[in-house]
Amino acid sequence: MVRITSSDSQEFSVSQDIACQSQLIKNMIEDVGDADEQPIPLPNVAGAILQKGGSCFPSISNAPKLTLFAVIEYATMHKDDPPSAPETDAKPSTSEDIEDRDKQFLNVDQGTLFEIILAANYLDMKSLLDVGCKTVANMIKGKTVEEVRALFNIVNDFTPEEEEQIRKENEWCEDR
Amino acid sequence: MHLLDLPIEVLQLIFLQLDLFKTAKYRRVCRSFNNVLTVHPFSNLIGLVHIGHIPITARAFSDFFCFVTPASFGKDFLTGIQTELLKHHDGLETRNDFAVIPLKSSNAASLLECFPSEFSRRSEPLHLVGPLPTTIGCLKQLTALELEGHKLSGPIPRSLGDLTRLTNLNLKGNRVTGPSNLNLKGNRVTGPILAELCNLVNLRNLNLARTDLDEAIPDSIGNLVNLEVLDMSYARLTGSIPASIGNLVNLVELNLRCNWLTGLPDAFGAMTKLQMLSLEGNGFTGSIPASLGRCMQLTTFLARRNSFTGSVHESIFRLPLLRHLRLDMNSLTWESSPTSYVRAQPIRMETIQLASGVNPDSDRESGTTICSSSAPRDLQSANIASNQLNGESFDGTTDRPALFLDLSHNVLSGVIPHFITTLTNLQELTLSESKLKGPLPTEIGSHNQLSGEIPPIFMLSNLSTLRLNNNNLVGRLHQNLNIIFPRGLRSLELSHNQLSGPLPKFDACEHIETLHLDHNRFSGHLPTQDLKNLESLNLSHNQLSGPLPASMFGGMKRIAMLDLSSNQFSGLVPESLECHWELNLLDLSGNHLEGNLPDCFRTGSGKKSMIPLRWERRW
Repeated sequence: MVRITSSDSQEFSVSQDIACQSQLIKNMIEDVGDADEQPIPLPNVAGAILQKGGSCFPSISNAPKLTLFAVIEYATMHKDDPPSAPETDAKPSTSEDIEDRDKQFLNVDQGTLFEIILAANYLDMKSLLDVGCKTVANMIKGKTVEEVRALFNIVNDFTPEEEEQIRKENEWCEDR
Repeated sequence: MHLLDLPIEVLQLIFLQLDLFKTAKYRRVCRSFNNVLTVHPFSNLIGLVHIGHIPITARAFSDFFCFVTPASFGKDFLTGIQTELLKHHDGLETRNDFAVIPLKSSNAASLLECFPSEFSRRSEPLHLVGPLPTTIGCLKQLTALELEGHKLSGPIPRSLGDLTRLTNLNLKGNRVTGPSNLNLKGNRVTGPILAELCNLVNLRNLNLARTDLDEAIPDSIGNLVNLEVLDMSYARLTGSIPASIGNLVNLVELNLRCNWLTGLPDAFGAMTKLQMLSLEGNGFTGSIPASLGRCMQLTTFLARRNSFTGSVHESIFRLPLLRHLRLDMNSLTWESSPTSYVRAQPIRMETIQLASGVNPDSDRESGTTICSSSAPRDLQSANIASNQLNGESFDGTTDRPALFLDLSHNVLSGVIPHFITTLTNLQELTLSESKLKGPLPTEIGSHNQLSGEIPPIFMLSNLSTLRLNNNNLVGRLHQNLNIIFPRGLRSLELSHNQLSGPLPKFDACEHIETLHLDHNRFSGHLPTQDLKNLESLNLSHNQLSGPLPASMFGGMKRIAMLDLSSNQFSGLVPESLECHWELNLLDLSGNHLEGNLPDCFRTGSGKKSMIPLRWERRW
């Protein structure tokens, strides 16, 4: 078992094969040696450890996903996956091919989704990061600029001149 | 948490999941998006756009694709390329929906492998047109860039210099300008690029033939030490070749044919693997580098059509594997002494052309050089023309010598090289259009300062044709042609020289069929002997005088061309002139003759009137 602590000092015990889906943790264990001695601090996984039911984010599924908890849940779900093949372009991956269980897993509010992506990025969990980014990409796909702004609550911070300039540069792709 | 709170690298990952060529429109969402989408890797995108096709059959097409990048991908750009294509390709059907096939991988070994599905299943001809993508440098894993035979144009992107793993660059035939195994052959690419290409130290094959480089070869060419084949023919290169080219010790083939290069370093000594060197059609001056004599693997050395001067180092002639040597159309001099060529190894020369003119038998196997002596060799054909053979000229002897020797178009200011007299199998000797002044050589192994007459070269017992037209030969012909020319001589052409004195006696040359002595200063009377084998006789433009002997004409049963014009012949036109069926041309004009041609030359049913002294058969 590996003990990991979040930035708010919550401690988790997870089996090594689950923890090591994070390249970061794997490297740390290899560096530190015996993993049982010391808990592994993850100061950057913010608020990782909200208790169950204490989520500040509304969730569609009503099952609050707590970031580190969620990440561990994901890792547990995928612990029996074959080791991901080294990056090849043999089969071009598209944002379409997301497993159903992952779809289900990431069926969360935007804030939680981004937290998970952020944690996956920090923990260096390639498959989770990948599936998270695909999920966001699918949200963007096919939408207009205005729709994207609305969806993600993004403020247009260009001056009208700047926006016009970009619009000009992008004439070739705007109507596609 | 907000989307924009994600770090840039994550935003980038998100956009990478989208159709890369469709991400650009989201630049307008906000500054953060714009910042992500205007830098690598989005700025380095490469895509292909199908811009048109030519129907070959009902079901097959010849397709035209154009590389695009976000910067270049625009309707104007693509329609511009279509317009250009329409000028050159009848039946081109252009497309208006410019769907982009984005380049997905940077791991592929060759650019076209980066577009796998779209290309691998294509059996129809595929033409890449337009410019190479400027962002090609992002494909850092490429090891080969084979674009020969496409129709690329525009500048060679400098970023090609970043593809440091390339071993094969072939741009041949593209009109591109400026990269390594880079084959851009035949593409219309342009622009300065060579310096960048010289970073590609792994290149083994660099083919920039038929591109428009318009620049000099940089010193850094010497970095490409792994090059085995360097083809920059027809690439509009200028300036001098840097001495650093001597570093390319792995070169097997170096082709610089037809550029505007002027300077050539004597730096070939270390190129011990060099087999083919073409410097043909440049403006090289100075002497041919002696260091080439150390390229022991050299089989082909072509340096014709330059401005090389001086003599050729003898070691070059002694290269053991040299089979094709062309040095014609230079200003080389041949100052050899008979002993200067070492007679060593057997030589199997197929082509030796040291002068201009058509080498009649360059394809024959197993000829040999005429340059070195007494090695077993069997030159079939030698052509030493278009050089300035000065002094003692070119020396060489062969045991089984040439059949044809063409020394035309030289500045043979000296004498005819005496080695010719050793070519005992010679059947044709052409020295026309030279400025040959001195006498013909008199005998094997020596030459005399002849005071007047063409010396005997009768030992060329197999010689049947001797052409010495357009020289400055002076002196008299020996009265007995058999003394100077071989008995079997069938064709003797000495036109346009300054030979003088009486004509030789014809009876000694019973086999002669063609005798052209026109445009000289021969004087005296025509001989009276009949020349029954004569087919072509041209004595025009001399100072011959006297009557036209009836006996002479009566015997010429096979004559096809008889030109005696522009002399000072006088008297009556002999009636023995027959208009037999083989005669095509008879010209007696420009003399002081009286009367007409015989009636048999009257064409048609014209009235009795003057028949001009020039008659030509009209078929």
